[in-house]
Amino acid sequence: VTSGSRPDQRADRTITPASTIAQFWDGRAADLKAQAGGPIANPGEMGFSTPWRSACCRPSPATSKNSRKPSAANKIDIDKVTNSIAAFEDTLVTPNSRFDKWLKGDKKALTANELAGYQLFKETGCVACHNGPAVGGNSFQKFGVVEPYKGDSKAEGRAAVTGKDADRFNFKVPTLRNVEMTYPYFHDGAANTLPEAVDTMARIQLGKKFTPEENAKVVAFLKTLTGDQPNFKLPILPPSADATPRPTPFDKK
Amino acid sequence: MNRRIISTAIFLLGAGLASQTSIAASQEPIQPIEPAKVTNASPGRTRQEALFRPAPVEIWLHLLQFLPQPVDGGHRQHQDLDR
Repeated sequence: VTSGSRPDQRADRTITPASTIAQFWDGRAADLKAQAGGPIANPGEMGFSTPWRSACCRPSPATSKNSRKPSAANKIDIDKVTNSIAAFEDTLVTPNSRFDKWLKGDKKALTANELAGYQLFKETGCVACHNGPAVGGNSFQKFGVVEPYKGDSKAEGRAAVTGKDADRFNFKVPTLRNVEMTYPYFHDGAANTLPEAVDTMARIQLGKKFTPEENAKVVAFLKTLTGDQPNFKLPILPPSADATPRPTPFDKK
Repeated sequence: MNRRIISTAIFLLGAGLASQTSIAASQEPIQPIEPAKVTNASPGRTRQEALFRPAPVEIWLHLLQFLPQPVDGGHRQHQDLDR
């Protein structure tokens, strides 16, 4: 999935979002609340204009028929909507991965092969950026430190936000939590598999060429970072009525 | 006496192992991620807040129980309906 206002970038991840330095690959949203408002207003995503947004923030006709006139304190506005989305996204953490269990003392949680992968991950220098509880997400780093990254994307990373030439090709280091489930990889989604992503990262960031065995070990370790996935009930929304505001299709704007 | 010494030794051994584990985990560059803390786990209250002006409505609902109740439990008699 591409990011709406940046069709040259794939969507940022919302799992474990709270522990990241900023939102989106270029960090253009300072926090989850700022991020939540982006896709709602973005013409390339939900494309809600201001009047349409206001209409959606009113109770639907089906709800308002059964409720009393809302007080000022209960009034729903875009600020409350983005606050609520941010609060919800804050809960999207995935604890209890096998690696977490190993960290907490269960020495049988990882196989010898996976442990060897973790050792390689540390010794090669991957942990310089992929560290902390989220295994990344806490800094912006240049993509292509040792060797320039060659891709089709025109994204220039953090420079698009700061305007500084020094920030060109600096991207947010992604969290590696649940990385086996979040393909394709990199800001442009150019790497389809974990072995491909590991190979590229080792080469352009660390100047190292992993053997197939080493690559497989690192990949085996990365797969131990998959935790319990969020589990929640989807809300049943009230039915739409004749007076429910309708979106304007993109091709009629 | 011996039992006391043994239980103390077991406690100290357990505490030592636990602290060793936590020290080992804190020395790693990656730390465990903890489950989310849901601070607003009160959907009933949220719904109520969305639908009513909470305080006045709740006060009136509470006051209703102090009103004098009809002897027949509120059921209207046939003669009442005929009037």
